[in-house]
Amino acid sequence: MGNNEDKMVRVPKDMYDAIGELIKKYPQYGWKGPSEFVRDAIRRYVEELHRREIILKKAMKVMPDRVKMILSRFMGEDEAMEAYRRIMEIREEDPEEYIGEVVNVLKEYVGEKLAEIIARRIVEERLYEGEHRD
Amino acid sequence: MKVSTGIKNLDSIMGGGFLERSFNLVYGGGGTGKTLFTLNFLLKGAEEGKHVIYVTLEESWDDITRKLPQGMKDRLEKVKDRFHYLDFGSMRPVLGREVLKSDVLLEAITSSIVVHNISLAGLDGIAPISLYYENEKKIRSVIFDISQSLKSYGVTTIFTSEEINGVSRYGVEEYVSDSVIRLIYTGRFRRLQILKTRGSDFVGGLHGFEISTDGLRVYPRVLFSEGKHEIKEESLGIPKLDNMLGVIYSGDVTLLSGPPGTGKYLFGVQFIKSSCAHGKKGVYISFEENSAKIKKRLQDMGENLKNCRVIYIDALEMDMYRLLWVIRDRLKDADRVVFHGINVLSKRDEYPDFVHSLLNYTRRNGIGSMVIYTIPGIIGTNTIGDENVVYMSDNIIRVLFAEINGELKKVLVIIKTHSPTHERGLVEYRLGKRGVIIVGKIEELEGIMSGTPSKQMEIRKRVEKFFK
Repeated sequence: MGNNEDKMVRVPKDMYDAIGELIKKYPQYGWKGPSEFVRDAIRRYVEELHRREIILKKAMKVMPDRVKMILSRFMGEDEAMEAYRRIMEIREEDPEEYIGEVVNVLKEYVGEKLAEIIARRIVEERLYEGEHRD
Repeated sequence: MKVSTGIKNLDSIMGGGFLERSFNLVYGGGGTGKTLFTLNFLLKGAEEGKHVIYVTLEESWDDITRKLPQGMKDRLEKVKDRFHYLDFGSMRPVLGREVLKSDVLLEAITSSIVVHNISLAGLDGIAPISLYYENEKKIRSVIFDISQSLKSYGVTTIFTSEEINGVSRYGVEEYVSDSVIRLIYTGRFRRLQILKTRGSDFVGGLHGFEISTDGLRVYPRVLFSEGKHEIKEESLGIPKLDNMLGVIYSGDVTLLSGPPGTGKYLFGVQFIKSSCAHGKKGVYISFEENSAKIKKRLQDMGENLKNCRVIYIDALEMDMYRLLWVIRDRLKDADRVVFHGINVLSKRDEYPDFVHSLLNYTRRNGIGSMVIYTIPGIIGTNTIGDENVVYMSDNIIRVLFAEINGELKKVLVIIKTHSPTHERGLVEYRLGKRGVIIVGKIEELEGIMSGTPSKQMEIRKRVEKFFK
């Protein structure tokens, strides 16, 4: 039920129709109408974003050490230490920006594609760790 | 410009090494030494001051370095500032097989090439790359792309592949390679074969190959001559025998064959002794009796070989091509050599190559050689040696036993020399305290070569005289 504080948002008609079909298709979720569906979807998405931020922050914390470990196996201690030092100098606080800068450092050593694979793997490890704990 | 393969003798038989900025295949079965070959190539480059990179796609770098022979570990330690590596072998379990996609791989390698100013690269074990590509055409195109990219960075590369049914794993690697080297391990000996070199000739066939503690060695199946020599007339060292032979020249190959007990080694000793007497170096190489025994026999006879060296080589367990190069080293500065009992090696597959190369080498370098060939059987055998030795011989002397007046006497006959006027009769000789003593020609007997001569000739002469 709505109240005076509620605000309206517009969705295109196609999307509105698709919501109606989903409500019919999955009655087990108990959505009483499109408004409840949208509220539920937003709630879940916000949770997802929050969770993602937590994971990225966790990844940020371990990023220098994990990169050092991976690189030292991949190409030796010297380069791993050099990359580690450069990553430690990154002052960016936004997790996504930070990871972008780590990739920038890494790509000089291993190329852009492998740098992205390494960074993504470190983030995935945190995700996996979280799921495991749940 | 050529880049050394890291192995001096291999460079010599492939026109100086690899072409600069080339992509070269080394393939072979498991355990043939592909990884060590690649590392040796890079170590040599790093020792020359170049920056090099080793890329392992299968085994981890830790495993590879742990298993390295100690000498190679020490070499690696000395050049570690210039020796770089990328360990995709240990990254696969951590980062997933995505890391082996050719674009990821190539980008990582070229980044390192730029950062370290790399000029030599080793790409070890390309099999995992194929996980992403379904057919040979695609694999060929991927390998071609990698080769072109590395060449464009000015890098000379070795890449390795497994051998399956006599060809490289995918059968396409050869086509994109500037040179192709195949490694073989027979379970007893290692062999190396050059199948292709772009831009130069090469010596074909199988060559000896050895992994030693400090690196790899190649023993080409041919010995290279070390310059022209002036041909001179020489003496064999046994005065009356020299007269019988007519003339022999420096660098001649003299085959002396006969049964055991005919004193062949004394002919050999006198042959090199005459060289030592003139302040030159003679070498007596025995494949039959050990050197201590030969020296003792010489001592008992009052012989002192001064500058001459007596060497025993237990060749039965040795790689024939390695043996060839061991002998070459022993012949440094020598002007005469005796090979005693070379026929103990005649059952080995490499024997024809071995004999041809060895005797060609001594001949071209002016080293007079006497090949002592032992023929089994006491009397009645007419063999003079196997075709490999006979074909290479300038002079052939056959010694034999003959039963004369109830005694087993020693007889020699000259079968071949340069001189058309050489002695054609059979000559008795004996062994004295000072060596071989020529007694004289046997005039009245025939059928000596059979070992049981008869006096038919003497009877015939008497009958002729009677009727005159």
